[in-house]
Amino acid sequence: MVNFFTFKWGNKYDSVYVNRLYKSIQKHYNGPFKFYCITDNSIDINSDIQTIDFNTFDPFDYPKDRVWTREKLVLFKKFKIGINVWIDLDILIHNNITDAVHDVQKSPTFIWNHWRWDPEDNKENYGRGNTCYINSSFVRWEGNQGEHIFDNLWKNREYAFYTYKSLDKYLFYQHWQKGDLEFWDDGLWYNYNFSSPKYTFNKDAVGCLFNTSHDLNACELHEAKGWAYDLWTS
Amino acid sequence: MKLKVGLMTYGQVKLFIKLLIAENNYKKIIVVAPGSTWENFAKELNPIIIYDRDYHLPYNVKDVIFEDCNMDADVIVTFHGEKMYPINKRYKGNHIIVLDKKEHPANCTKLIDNMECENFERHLVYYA
Repeated sequence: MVNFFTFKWGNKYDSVYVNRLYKSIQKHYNGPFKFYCITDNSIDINSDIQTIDFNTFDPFDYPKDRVWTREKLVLFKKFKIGINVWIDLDILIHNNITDAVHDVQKSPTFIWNHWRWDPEDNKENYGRGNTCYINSSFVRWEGNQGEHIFDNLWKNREYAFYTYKSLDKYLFYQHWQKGDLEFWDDGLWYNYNFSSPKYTFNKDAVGCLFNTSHDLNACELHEAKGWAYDLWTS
Repeated sequence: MKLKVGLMTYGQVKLFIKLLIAENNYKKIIVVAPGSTWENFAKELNPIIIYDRDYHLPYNVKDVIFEDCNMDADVIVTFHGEKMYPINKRYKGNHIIVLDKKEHPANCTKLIDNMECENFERHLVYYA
């Protein structure tokens, strides 16, 4: 049994996103699974989805705009049995993910921003704290693989929340160099808004990221046209 | 040590740091986060060690805030204090902290113009 998790809080996304993500897992994962949504509003969420109260989920007493989406790491602490996957709502899964979910890795597996990765840019900007090539939109872990990552944030919370605006940047600077993270193969994921050319369908990938939190002008899933919207609503 | 110095140029900062070191007769110096901008000057100070989190640079690669480091020195000279948690709260001792006043999205400091802001107490000089 695999556990899938997603988060929905505030009003950026509605229950339609949650329900469609759930349906896409039903369609593209071969095996028994549970689907959880950590939310502050469970109205209109499919009754087959188990909800968890978002308001009591985050143990960190810091503003939400510091280490943004740190709630994801709480999953590493609370769910330490079997295979688990967290998925952002702004992701479109359009091919079978079973092999990826069952791909044995020694550490939690994140998305590497292959579409942005530039070693020269990293060399230039790493020291300024200005680079980040990690994306936490689809993360798989098994057992207690990620527990030490949560523990590290808890131990260093005073420093981390002062220093980092986002979880992805925190992970990039505090865990990537230590080899604490694995990454999906290049080509497994791509980016609707940041790929070149934009909005191109990649039939060989398992899913497409929208990453709208990185660009206010980026297109949301419900605003997408053509193939993306058709797949999302199919 | 109580320091409170306003806007300075790069050259003035270098002279001022040298003056502080001479006046206080600091012998054992540790340098933190010089990056590439302060590389030559950091070496001029003849420190016992230079820490920097940037693994591309030829220093002892450590994030001194998140990792426990040997900070046994007469003074810790930190460049790019705007990029990190206040080092004077992390390590006791004498500090000279240089803040780059230029705004940058990855800065931790928010209001460098306000000398009462943040948590650097008065261990700092400015760098325009």
